[in-house]
Amino acid sequence: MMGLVTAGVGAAAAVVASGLTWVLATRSRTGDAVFQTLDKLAQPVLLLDGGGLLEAANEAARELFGALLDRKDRTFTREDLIQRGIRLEDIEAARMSVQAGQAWSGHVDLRINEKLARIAVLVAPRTGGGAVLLLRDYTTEAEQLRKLEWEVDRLSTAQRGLEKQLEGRMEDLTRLSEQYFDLFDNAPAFYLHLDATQHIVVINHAGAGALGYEPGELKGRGVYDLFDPEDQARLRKLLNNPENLDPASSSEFRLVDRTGKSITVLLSGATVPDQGGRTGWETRLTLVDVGTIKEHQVLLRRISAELEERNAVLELKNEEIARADKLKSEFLNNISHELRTPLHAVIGYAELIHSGGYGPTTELQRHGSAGILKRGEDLLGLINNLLDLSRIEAGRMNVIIAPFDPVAAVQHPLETTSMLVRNKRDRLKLRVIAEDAPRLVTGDEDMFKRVVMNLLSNASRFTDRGSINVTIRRDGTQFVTAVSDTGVGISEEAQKFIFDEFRQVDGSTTREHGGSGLGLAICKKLCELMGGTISVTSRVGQGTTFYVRLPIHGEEVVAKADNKAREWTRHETTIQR
Amino acid sequence: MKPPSRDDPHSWTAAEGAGIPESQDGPRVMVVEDDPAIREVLISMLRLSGYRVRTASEGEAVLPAALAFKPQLVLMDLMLPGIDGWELTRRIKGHADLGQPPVIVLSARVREDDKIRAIEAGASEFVPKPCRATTLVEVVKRYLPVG
Repeated sequence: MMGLVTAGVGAAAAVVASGLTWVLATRSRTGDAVFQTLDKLAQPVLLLDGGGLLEAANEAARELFGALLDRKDRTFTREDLIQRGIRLEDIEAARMSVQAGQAWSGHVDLRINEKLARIAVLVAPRTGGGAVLLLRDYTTEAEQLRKLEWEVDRLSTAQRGLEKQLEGRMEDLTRLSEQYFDLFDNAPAFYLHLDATQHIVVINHAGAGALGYEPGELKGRGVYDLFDPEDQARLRKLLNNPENLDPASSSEFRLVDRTGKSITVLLSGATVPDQGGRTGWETRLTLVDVGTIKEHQVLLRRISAELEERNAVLELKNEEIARADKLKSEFLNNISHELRTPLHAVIGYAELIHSGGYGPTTELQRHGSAGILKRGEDLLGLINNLLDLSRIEAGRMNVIIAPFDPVAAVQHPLETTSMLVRNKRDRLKLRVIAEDAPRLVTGDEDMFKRVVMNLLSNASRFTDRGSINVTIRRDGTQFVTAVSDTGVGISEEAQKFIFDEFRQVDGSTTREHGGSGLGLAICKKLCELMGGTISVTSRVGQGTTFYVRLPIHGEEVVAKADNKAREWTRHETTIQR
Repeated sequence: MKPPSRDDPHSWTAAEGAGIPESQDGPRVMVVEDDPAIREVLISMLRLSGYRVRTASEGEAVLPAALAFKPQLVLMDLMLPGIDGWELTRRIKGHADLGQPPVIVLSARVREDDKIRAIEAGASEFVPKPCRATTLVEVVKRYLPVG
């Protein structure tokens, strides 16, 4: 750009320079006229004589340089020039060119009146020595040029952005078209686009493949060729009256594949203006293989038949399970009956002997019959526990939730226990401590009683002297029932499995103290059913404490109901396992 | 009335009444029970307590025996050959000539629904087997005091 401007200035300067040559040649004759002519030039012109002194400057030059030209000696020193921003090498290059009789052109940035002006300079040698300097201020053009360059820059940046966007769009388009073609080609239907003369423009892979062709082979073929001759007339009628074509309704046609095999399809379609309207209209046909539909229907029927069969099997299994469940329950009931019946006679005979009903007895006979009674009752306890356990295991134990007073609830187990230990009554004390007991809790009172009864019966068996205490106290949202004794205690090792079924500390304890080893297992399961826990602390030789923690829950509800009418709602919850 | 066998437990058979004498004017209790040992124990206990006792061991025999004896109280087992205890209770309570004596069911069928069915059939009380003689006699005395 800059080169072009310089060249332009150069060309103009050459014309002016040749004019000047003439002007200067005639100066001696018409000196004033020369200057008048120079003054008319819009471009600043300076004339230097052979000694490098300023000989003349036209009006434009004086305007440009102002006071600078009014110096008496009419010399421009190098310092002057350099001070004004002219490069030393430019001055030298210009001087050398002039001495060699050649013109020099370039541009200089001149500081004039505190402003920087961009000036193009043409220095041409004068005939007879000296030089003519033709100047052109192109500051404005330079600025415009800069602006132009900046604009070009901006535009090219914008273009690059657009190109990038376009690239992205192209990628999207490619992906979309790939997806479209994938859908189009592999759809479970045959797609055909026909031109206005019913020749195939496009057929998808699925369609061509089903007919035994590559899609390219069918392009340009008449569509009727693909149909069964018997159906062709009907199709022709349909395609010639495009208003009969309806994408929402279909009719059956027969295609003929490459090998002559018939394919029954459901045909639907629509006529649309073709792209650019070159051939007017394009028909788009959708053909669905009826065989495929039928295959699906067959598959569906088979699946639903299988499902029905499975349902029937499941129903049968359910019935079997229900029957087995009923049988099990019956069995339990019967076995219970069969175990209890002879026991009744055993206990009855023993009692008859012991009470003297069968006549006077010796002390040994009374002792023996008491032993039968005691063991008979132990056996009854075992039977009851076994049945309880199987009921819990079978999930048949119902938790009946109702409000109850826990302190009142332990009275009956306590009375029963005091009967059991009446022979130790002078050395074993039974007590209930209920200083911080909740007045009412919500839970299954019977279960709670059974747990306490089991724990008390345990304590009474393993405690010979000292005390058995039942402590009931509140602990946050729970209440704790502690049954502690001063009995033989349980070793740490044994505490680990004490709640397992049939695990007393060892077999000998059963024989010495009685009990089945099921009581604690039942306690644990009952506590869990009630949403609570049971734990133990014990020291061998010092005693044992069992802690039963159960939720108090619903005490506030209970209190409310209590104020209202003292009428409790009983819920029955079946615990399913 | 033969005495119980003394020496060989294998040749043991139950002896009705076990040789315990019966008062001639005690209140009449009928025992329906198919287990001979339990029958013997029940007869013994009731006689010792001053009752007159007749027994029946199978369903069909109960009503004729009851019509002959006119019991003032019936102790009824539930699981019996022939007609079961629930049905017998219903029939006894419904018979015009028997005067609706209290029926106390004594059974090892201790499941809740069995008990409920017994009460629905007309039983006054349900006592589970096994139980102490004293317990049973207390219940009987409550419905039919002696002397």
